[in-house]
Amino acid sequence: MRFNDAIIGIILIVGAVAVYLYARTLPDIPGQEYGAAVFPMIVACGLGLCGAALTVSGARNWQGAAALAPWTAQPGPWIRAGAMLLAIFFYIFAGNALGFMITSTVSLFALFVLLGSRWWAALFIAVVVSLLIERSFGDLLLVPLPRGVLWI
Amino acid sequence: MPGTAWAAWPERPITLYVPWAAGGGTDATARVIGTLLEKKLGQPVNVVNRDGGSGVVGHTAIAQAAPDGYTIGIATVEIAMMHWQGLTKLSFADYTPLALMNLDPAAIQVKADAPYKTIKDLVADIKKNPGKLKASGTGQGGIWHLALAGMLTDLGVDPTASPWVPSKGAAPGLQDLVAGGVAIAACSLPEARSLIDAKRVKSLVIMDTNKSTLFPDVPTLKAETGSDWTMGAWRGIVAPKGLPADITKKLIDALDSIYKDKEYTGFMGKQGYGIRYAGGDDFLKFWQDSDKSMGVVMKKVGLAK
Amino acid sequence: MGSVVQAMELVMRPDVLVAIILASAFGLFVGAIPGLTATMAIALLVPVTFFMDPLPAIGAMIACSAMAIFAGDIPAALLRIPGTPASAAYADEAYAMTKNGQADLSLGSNLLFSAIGGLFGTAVLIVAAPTLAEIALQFSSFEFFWLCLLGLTCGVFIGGNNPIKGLISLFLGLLVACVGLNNPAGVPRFTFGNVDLMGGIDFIPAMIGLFAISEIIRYLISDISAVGTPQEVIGNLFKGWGTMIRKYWRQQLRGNITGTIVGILPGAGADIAAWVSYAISKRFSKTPEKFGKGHLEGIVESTSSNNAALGGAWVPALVFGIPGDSITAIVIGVLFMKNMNPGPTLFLNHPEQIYAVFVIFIIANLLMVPLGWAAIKGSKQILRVPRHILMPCILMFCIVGSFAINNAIFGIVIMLAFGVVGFLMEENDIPVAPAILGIVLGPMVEQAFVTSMIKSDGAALGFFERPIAAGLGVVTIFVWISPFLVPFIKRALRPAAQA
Repeated sequence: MRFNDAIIGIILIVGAVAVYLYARTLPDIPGQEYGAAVFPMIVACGLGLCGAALTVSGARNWQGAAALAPWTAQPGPWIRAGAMLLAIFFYIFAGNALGFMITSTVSLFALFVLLGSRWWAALFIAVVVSLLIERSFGDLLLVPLPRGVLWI
Repeated sequence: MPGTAWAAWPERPITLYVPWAAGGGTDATARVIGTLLEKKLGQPVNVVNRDGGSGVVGHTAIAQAAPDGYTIGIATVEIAMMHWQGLTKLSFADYTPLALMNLDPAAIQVKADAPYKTIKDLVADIKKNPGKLKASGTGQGGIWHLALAGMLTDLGVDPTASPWVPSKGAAPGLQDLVAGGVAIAACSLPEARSLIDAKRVKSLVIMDTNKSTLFPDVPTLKAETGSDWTMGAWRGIVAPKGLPADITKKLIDALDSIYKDKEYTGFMGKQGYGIRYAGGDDFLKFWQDSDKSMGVVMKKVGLAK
Repeated sequence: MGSVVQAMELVMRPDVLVAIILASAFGLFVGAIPGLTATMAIALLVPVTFFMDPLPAIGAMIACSAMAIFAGDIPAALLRIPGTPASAAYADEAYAMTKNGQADLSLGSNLLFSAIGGLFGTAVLIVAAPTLAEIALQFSSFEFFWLCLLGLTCGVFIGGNNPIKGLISLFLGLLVACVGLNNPAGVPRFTFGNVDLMGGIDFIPAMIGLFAISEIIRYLISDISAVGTPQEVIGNLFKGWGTMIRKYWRQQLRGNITGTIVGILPGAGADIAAWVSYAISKRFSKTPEKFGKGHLEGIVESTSSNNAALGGAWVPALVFGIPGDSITAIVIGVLFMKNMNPGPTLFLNHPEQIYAVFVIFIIANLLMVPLGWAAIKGSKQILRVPRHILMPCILMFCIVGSFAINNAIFGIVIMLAFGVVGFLMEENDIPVAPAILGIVLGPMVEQAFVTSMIKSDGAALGFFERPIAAGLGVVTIFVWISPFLVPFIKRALRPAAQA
């Protein structure tokens, strides 16, 4: 999904103005001239200037606001990318309740099958990989992975 | 949820939250307590770091955990300060205090070749040249900032006469002191230890009722000026609010015996950390007092909302 | 000399050597896993060292950190996921080499120059620690401010062909660094009352998102039934080592020196060293157009640099107990625990202990070659795994890695957000690397700037009053105007040369 530089430039300018206005509301250090606001304001100015430069150069080479990549016309890429998002959201929202083993096995299995593995191979690899991660991170590296319903 | 259901506690591993990053003083203290707690309770104690937001993130995680005895945490002095700044609503009322395990009093350091012989010389110079002597040692509104500001207030000097230069902890503050960027570094003695030993900085005073075992030559504020002002950074083990009474008792007993354990005192001694104990209600009382005196200073310096 | 012999005897004991080898294996493992940094590897070792004698404990930490910084290069080259932040600077370059079928060359150079860089840093530590620590101790926020600006300048050099887009990426990174409570004034910024945002945006999940998740997205939207780019399985790692040393001795030496200096300066470590070195390499290269497409030059310089920084960081740590990086910050605590209190007196009273530390440094860096070879041989199997199996597994590793850095679900949210943003940025030719540099350096720049302004009571002249600061300031300004000056000077000189 390619946008014309001018479009990106305008988005950046709008963002920079918003940041600048927000930063002005930040309080100073009591008794000091320089506080929390200075740095974001400088960054906003820099971002705004770069946005302006990009807008100018983009407007000179105007070839339409956005060019859609060929993949956007097919359903497959959207489904696959959507599945990845679903897998991450599934982990964020259900991970704690179900525990790492179940969440990871289910996500991996679904993604494997979607990408073309046979279901039995997908199931086997999903369980093995999940166990491997659970053992190495959870036990060896002491990362507190969610235990969920399997390990009370 | 009364008695019997919990009789078998602990049946599974316990999580000990640390609201600071791995590798710091709080982390080290928590890890040694965790190791010893594991021995006393017979269940693994997993130390989990939840860093960020000057402690807000981790302290919130402790308070929001289930009060079932399987999640405890190490609270630090910041929990008595942050709610005054409006950074969180959490205070002592949101926890079950178990035991105070450590206290490091504040001390005032200057360059080894500075012209001040005593804290009185330094304070006199601050009073004479307001704004000239800059101080550092922690972030804006951090514990050592309040220690210095509180001391100056107590000695009748305007605390803004020594402007605070925020730093990311004691080490960069001390570095700035030696590099000549600031004139005063406020921090605890163990934090300044290497540079005191290397004769690059000297410590003028310690804000405690007793002298430090690490540097017994450093006089107390009371002895030097007669001021009763004391201030220190403390750490204690806490649980979420509403921990059942029998688990609370078991944990306090375990922490009490850890405090007397040679492994704990030996570790803390080698690191130079000060130890101080208060269990259960005594800890709560200590916490409330600390909270109150923080509020008074923070209002004076203009940090409290 | 007596104490050197004594030191050798102290180190050449089975318990010390076993500790070093085990810690090395652990370091390789942790370093190669995205989301787990060298600093975390060391922190995980701390409870173990409670029960060890001083030398095995110190040896374990030295070996573990050296191996972890090297091992971070392996997933960076094979999968475009930097294992530790220190490998982020050249992850794209190394991955491009793998895609060109040159994984063995790239990983071989990582191994060779990591070891050489580590030995160089050690040599500096041995020869000049007390003097250099003395200089590092003279650095105040004014000097750091100029250094940070120089570091940010690197962001423009590392980012692709369009400097404006590189700058945009850098500014976006700086903006991300503003989020949270971690600023000189200690007030919450851009948090909107959210406790997780108060903690700021950790750059490790952000880095995993920008590099790895965006790569996964690119794979998922591609034609997955097509056979991927043929990837030559790693052959002889040691091939071409002699040639590389001869051809790239300049880059390697420069990387070593830069890395050691960045390491010695308190607060900056291996990750920043690698960025700076990569940028220097590109800036002074005769063929800068080759960078980013699988060119060895920049890899050599920055992979030397990040390992050299490790030794450098011990300079102020041993002499004054001031940490040179986040790893030595932990090590100092262990030194105290083992009664090896850092300070000049350590060099006078216990020279044999200091020498023993040096000997361990040398052993660890030599050991890196065989152990690193084994690690690369083992992980090359990844390239044989079909992409449709590999990619979901990488996704799961990224999720767990983003969680592990602060044990928080919020890390996964950050990872996802930056993955999508990174994908969109690269679709539009905005490089992601400068954004990461911005996130890393942002807090340091702001801290140095605001504290300097407070100290000088708002006078800009303060930035030039101290001699070192003035020198650094002049250098920075020169670097900034040199792109405009150099053509002018060249034009002025040309007639003279022709005459």
